[in-house]
Amino acid sequence: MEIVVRASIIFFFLLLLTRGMKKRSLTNMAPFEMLLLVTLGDIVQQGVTQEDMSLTGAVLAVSTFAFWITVLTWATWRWRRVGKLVDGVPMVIVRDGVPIDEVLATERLPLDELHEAARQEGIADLAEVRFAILEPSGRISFIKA
Amino acid sequence: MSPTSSSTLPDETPSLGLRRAGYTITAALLALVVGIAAADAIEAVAILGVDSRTVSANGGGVDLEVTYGAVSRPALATPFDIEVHQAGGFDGPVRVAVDREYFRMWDENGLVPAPSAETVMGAWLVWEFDPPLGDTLRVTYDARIEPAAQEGRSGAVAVLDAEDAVLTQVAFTTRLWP
Repeated sequence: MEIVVRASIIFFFLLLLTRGMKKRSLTNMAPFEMLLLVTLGDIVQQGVTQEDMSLTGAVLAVSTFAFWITVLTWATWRWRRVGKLVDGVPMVIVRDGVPIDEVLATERLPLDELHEAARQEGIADLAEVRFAILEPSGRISFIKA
Repeated sequence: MSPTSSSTLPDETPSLGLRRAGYTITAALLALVVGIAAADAIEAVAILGVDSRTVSANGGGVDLEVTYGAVSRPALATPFDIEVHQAGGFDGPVRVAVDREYFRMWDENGLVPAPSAETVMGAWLVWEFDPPLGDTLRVTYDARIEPAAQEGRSGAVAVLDAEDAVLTQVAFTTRLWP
């Protein structure tokens, strides 16, 4: 029943992939990034189930993913260090109204995206912002001065 | 609280014990399913397929051995091999009969070697093979289980003499997971 082994490998590969992608990709995708998301399911499905068209195979593949999600969820709750490794850490990207260019460059976050996120929070000028934090989920939190 | 209250708070506090029990049961079921499948993958158990077995019989101076899929799943390639052995070799064609109903769950790719003749005899599909070089005929049925097959079948293989009498016969069952 090697579906379990293949599903596990694909799960951890996808986990590495999502951790390696820039954080904003997770919430705010460019069209070319959306292409990957749309086709990812089809691409990996054959690698997991191959020619297995049985209900049993589908149940096992899904159960394997759900199992590892459950394990990681528990591990991130139990050990903070695991949480940082799996989910990432929040990063300050604006301090006292000034964008931190080094962090923006590392996260490949264009200033335009930062401005867009601020507008969505009703912030017209970054000078109003004491801190802006890029969360592990890819969302940007704003703390006003 | 009145029915028209604008409060967004839940009306009652959920039972944490019940929720915790639900999460634990779900996690345990997942671990069980994945554990069984992992054990099957390393062949510690043989439950989920594809698992093969061999049955054999002899009679009339002929040894018959059939390797079949004991457990399989739809659309998967599954073994079905027939070996007929006669000490000293075969004087004439080797006639092998297979239960026709057994083949209803198969999607055939080919039979190796190809029979020189093929006919039906009641519930049997009878293949006639040219005598092999040596004293053993090995037939491989290259096929997979039909994608729409949901339940397994029993089957039988027999070796017939020139007068259609059964020299020896084996029976087996292939079980399918849906």
